[in-house]
Amino acid sequence: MRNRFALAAIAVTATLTLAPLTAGAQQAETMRTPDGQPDISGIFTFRTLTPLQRPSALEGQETLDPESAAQFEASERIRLNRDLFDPESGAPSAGYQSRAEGGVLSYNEFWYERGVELTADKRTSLVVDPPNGRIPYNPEYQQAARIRGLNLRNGFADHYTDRSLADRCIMGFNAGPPMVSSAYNNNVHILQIPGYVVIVNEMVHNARVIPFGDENSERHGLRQWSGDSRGRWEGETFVVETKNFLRETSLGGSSKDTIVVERFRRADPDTVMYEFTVEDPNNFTRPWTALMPLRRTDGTLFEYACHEGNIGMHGIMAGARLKNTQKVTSLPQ
Amino acid sequence: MVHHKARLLHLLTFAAAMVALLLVTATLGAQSSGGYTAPRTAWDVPDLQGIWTNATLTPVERPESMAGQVLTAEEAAAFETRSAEARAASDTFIPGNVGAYNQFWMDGGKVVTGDRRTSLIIDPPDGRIPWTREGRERFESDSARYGVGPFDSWVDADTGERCLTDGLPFVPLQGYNMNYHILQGPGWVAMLNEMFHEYRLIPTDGRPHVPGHVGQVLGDARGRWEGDTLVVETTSFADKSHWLWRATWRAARPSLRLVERFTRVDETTIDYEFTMTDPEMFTRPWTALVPMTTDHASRGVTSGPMFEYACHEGNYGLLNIMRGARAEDAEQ
Repeated sequence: MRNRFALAAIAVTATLTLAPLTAGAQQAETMRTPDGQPDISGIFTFRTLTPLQRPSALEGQETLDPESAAQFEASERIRLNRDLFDPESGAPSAGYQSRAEGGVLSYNEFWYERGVELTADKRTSLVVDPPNGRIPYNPEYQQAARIRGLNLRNGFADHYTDRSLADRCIMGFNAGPPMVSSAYNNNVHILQIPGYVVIVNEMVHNARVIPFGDENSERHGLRQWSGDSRGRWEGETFVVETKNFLRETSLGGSSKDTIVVERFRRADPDTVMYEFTVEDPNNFTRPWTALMPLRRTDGTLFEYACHEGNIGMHGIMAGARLKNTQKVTSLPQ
Repeated sequence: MVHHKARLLHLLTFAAAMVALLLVTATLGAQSSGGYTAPRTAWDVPDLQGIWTNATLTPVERPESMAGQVLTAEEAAAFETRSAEARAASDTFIPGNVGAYNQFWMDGGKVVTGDRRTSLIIDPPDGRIPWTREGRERFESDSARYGVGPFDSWVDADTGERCLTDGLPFVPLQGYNMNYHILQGPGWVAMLNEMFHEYRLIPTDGRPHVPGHVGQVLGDARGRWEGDTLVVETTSFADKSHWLWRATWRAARPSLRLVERFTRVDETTIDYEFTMTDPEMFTRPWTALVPMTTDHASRGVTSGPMFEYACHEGNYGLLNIMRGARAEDAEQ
């Protein structure tokens, strides 16, 4: 069974990574920086409608045919459109409770810039391994995470550190590592420099200066919010290994012992394929891998702002003081 | 004596220019005209990369107590000794004074610039900011409220206290984290400022500025190479009325045009020169020269890699400032 899974994973990955590589791939091979590295630089968007994990309704379907894909895209665009949410009934499938349950809506659609199409290969999940497209959480973690999630959604917090890194304007959202398409600011500027690759994420105004090469291989051992990233070239692919995270990472549901391996590879002049593998013995039963295209954009990145005027955090803490007596401590059987 | 180089730019008569040129030639033997050529990147532009510090004891403006433009070696040594004594004295606990960080947390320059100047400003020659009347009034009212208030809202605190930014240009004012990691790729120069984990991505490919109404706190920077010098011109600063009380000359204003020049003059030194032009605030453009070095030990500051910077989370200072102001309100 395991072997079959592994083979299937290899087959899926190979198909997905190699399928679009034809004439574009040949052009990509010739793209070089002045000092001779494969060129992965540019300003890219990674917004996509393909979710990180495969929705249960699409179980067993790794990709959709063009007709089903168009239907799925159309229905998702409606489901996620904030302007169509009814403030009374909320939008439970998008995480908004009804008003009767205390739900309030947030930004309207004007502020969003999520993906509006699936990946070019019409995948139903960014996760390509395991083949079911789902993150292999270990059951104990999943149980704890569901309790935490319920409390977060219901506005419980004893302290600001009970809230997510995103709420706290520290990391989170799609800032990475690893980067995952989300609601807006799905943009990244990759700058290539002899000895370094600089990855600047529009979200949270985050910049990672990633050294590579022998003289830069030694880690300093200090734990940081965005970990400590070290790069290396494997043929045409730039591989970045990040560990030594301070506490939880930008990716929801991972611990400080997480190791993220990211792979950047030029697929064609307009695309860099971005693949990442996440390993975390505390929370996942096995490593898992996702594949997400970075598509060239002609835009430029602007300044990002989050913490100043973050009245949301203040409101959450004030609300939580009122709700302290209702805190959930176990799941109903 | 490097100030002669910049003064040259502003001398109008040919004769004066010739005199200054002679002085420059005589005193700046190590500049690009006289021997040192910066290493080149693979795409053949000067290589400015490295982790640089601009920490120094030399103030931006010449103190009134210093009459001359340059200190003698003895005066410089005495000034550095007095500064060391003042740092040591600042760690003494004074009853009734809440104090702030002790010297353990500080990492400021321990020496004056190598040319022993009395101000980082080299033009005008008096080493002082040439305020307009409006600019001076603003400077005086801003500096009078720094640390004093009123604090009716968080925006009444300085942008530094609010963990946003200390703004541009790069000047060694804050006492620690005065490190800048410069990285270059074809068509781009990246500068990561340790303070505020603040980065600038500066295109050098000749693209136009973004439209002026797109204001950003660090403005919109465009770079170009003039000989061995990286020239960065920044405009489109955001219109922020609440800004930097303690260094109001750095406040971002739409009327400000900032031109910075980075010239590598030897293996371990970049001459960083910036010119501020803002007719609303200054009667004339003015220029400062701030040498940056990769030899951190020579400035008496910490060397090594840069780490993550943290400020806003757990920033009880701001909370307590607001709380203290409310307590004062109640007493009135």
